Amino acid sequence: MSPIIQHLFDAASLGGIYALAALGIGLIFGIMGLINFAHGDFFMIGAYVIFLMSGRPVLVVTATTIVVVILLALATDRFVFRPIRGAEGAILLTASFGLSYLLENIVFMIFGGRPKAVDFGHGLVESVTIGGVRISQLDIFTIAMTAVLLIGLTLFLRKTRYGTEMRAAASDFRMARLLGIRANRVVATAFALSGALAAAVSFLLVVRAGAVSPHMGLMPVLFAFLATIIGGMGNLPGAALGGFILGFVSVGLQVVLPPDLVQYRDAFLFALVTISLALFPGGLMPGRQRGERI
Amino acid sequence: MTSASKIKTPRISIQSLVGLTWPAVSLIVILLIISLVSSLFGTDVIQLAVIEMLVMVVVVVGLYMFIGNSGIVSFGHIVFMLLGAFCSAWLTLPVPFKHMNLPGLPPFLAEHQYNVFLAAIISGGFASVFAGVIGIVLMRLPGLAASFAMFCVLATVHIVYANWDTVTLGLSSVVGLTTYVNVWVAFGWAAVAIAVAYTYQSSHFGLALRATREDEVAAKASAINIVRQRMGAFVLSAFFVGVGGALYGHHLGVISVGTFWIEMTFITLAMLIIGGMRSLSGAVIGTTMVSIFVELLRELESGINLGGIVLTIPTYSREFGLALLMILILILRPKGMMGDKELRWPFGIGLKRRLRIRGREEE
Amino acid sequence: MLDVCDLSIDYGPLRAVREVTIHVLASEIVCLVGPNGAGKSTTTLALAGVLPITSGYVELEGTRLSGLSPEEIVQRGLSLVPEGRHIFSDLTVRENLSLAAGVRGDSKAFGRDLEHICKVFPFLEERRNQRGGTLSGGEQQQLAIARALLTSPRLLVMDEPALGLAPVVVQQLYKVLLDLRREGVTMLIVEQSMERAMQVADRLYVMRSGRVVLSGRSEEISASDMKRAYFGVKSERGDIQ
Repeated sequence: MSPIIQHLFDAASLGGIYALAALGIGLIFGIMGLINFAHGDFFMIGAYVIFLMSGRPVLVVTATTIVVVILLALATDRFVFRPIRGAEGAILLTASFGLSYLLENIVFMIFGGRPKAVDFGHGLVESVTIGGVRISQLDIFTIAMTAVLLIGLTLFLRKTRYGTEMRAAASDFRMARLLGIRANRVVATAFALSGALAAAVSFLLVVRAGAVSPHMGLMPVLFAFLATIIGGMGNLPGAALGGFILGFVSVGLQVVLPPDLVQYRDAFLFALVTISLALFPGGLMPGRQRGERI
Repeated sequence: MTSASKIKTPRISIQSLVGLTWPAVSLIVILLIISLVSSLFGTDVIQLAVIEMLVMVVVVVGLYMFIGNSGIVSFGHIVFMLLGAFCSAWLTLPVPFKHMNLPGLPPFLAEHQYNVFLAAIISGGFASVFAGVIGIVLMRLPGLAASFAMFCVLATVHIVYANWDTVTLGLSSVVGLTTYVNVWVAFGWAAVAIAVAYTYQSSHFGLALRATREDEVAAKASAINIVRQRMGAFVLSAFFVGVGGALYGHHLGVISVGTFWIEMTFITLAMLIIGGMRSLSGAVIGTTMVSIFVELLRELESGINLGGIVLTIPTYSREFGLALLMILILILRPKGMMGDKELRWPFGIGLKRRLRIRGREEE
Repeated sequence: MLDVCDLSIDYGPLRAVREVTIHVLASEIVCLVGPNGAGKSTTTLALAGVLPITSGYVELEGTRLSGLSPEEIVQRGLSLVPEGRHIFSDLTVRENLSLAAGVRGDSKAFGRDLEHICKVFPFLEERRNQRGGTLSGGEQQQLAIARALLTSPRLLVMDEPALGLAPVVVQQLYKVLLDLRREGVTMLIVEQSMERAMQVADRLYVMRSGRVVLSGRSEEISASDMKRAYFGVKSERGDIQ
């Protein structure tokens, strides 16, 4: 019984990270049709900020990271994505790919390619025993943080004016503008939120991995895409759900695969997603999605 | 409206033949000139750079055959380069090496060493077969999903190869590939790739596929089988990208799984986009321009001597510069340097022909 | 109130609207009539700032609108209800309406207007928490109009408000529009049906192939004049005018 519970927590915690990452991608995609490949580099740069500030008080590090990543997100909107707003999806994706490459190479230039150890939140890695089951504090923290952020985002989108404007813009951008909703403001808000979510993910990644490296954002962002695709693009609850599904499948594979195949776990995951994409090109969640229709 | 009943079949004159094939011929001639000049006058460094550029032409033209005609930006096409490179390595590496380092290879590979040219063809074929299999699924997906699914395929194969070290040495380098790719081998393959790409895009199949790129609904209504046309381009392009992978390996003499991953994906896409995604000339010119640009930056990174003053830029400026260039092009000139256009015969067509065409247009 | 002067709009090499001049005076209803492809929708989209103008200009009470973004145009008092309703289906009726408040600075005035609109379209109050996508076609159209009215426009432009609606619903809708005109709302309505246009408009412009081919007060234009302009008539030379 107890290992199953541990695995469940593991899966929920991993799923939470993927869900937060997927939401960051989904927010932007819903409004602009842009799949932001550079989102993974938001995680990475947030992580390097934490690295640079390790040793300082936790609150200072947290605040700085959040501010830096949000500013970075806003800057990429203003200087890279706004000039090409309205271009077709492939161009947007390619531009975000270029941006990602750019950011990674800046980090290579400054810090070099070797991973660097980071001591942040190390206390969280220890376990706690509840009702006879050993659960990692990190898992609890991750799940709690995910829950708080999910609730916060939902409240923002449903209860505030800006949130309603964002939902309207995601539904029909042109019509929103015809009602006087300022396009630039809505997009900037989306990027800011996306940046905030990315900052949260960078914390979680740094604590889990204990190190930073220039390519560290690649796998998480790929999984985030997978999650958005599973959930149906442009569908926020779907993206979050997709993240959790991915977390559970990933841990499930880890447990179920024979020892000599475990190293191929991610390959299986990708293959599974490709297959599910083939069967359900619109994603697993029903409902309206952004995308090509006749 | 008057002489609709009398449609004259145009006689094929030398002039029209040249005009028709000019885009491909001109590109081949340009590459020929570059190859000649570099092999006669170039330093070793320049010659190697030119060979690499020609190999990349094979890859990028292969990429273009699919992306340019179908409009689907395949983010994982480098998987074919990966497959082709290792396939050629498995076929051509010396048997003792394989026994010692790659114990996982099946006997027909481990016990034999095959001719390099044959290996190149087989590698291309291997990539094509793989493309055929995954294409059955992927070509049915809408554009953006297909783009992304291709990347998932690349990621899957990358992870598999990176872990299957008895066959690929994992993330370590596989050395000892025969460096048979000199400038004329590379040029030859580049010329073939260009010729095939041009023939394809001018053919009924290429045109049908391009129609689907513009307007899927209209294409379907014209009885164009979108999936079949995409498959054709996909398999054809996989062949050349696979061969390109083999050539790349045999040019450097060294390959590793990591060579054909994100950086390579980025560079090849940048070459295609900067040149212009939708024209063959764009693919070739883009590759040439980016190769020159990267080579210049590479020289600057090692420091060049300008009459006593040494000019250097920090490492990784190359990649940074390329990324910046690509973003700028996407913002300022999204259709790339060539736009949608191919290289045109610069001397125009004769006056009489021009008048006749204008007359026909006005009817 | 609205002056559209020599407006031309190109779609690439194709000129969709050619030197169109339209004037709308305060508190009147002007109808833009014409067959499919005449350029009517293109004109309204350009007025709203969605499509770029190739030449000519648009002025609303002396303020130049041409070249501004859609958001800025709404702020200066021109609101478009585009063809096809465009309700945000996942948002509730109330949320749909509340979006218009973004343009208004004064929330009290907005509140007053909201109350008034709910009297004009009573079903809005009943269904205020219902998702927009669940309303009927006629209700959605009315919601779209109500929403646009809440931006407190000086000029309301509507593109084929009757499209896809049952005749009974259309009657009711146009009755509401006439009521609004009585209250002083100025409207420019694109209409495909000649009859409806003649019933409701003070003045008409007939467009064909991108040009205005006939204009005038509705009482002064005969039905046969309209038909000729709408469909085009062969002159002695045998070509279509």
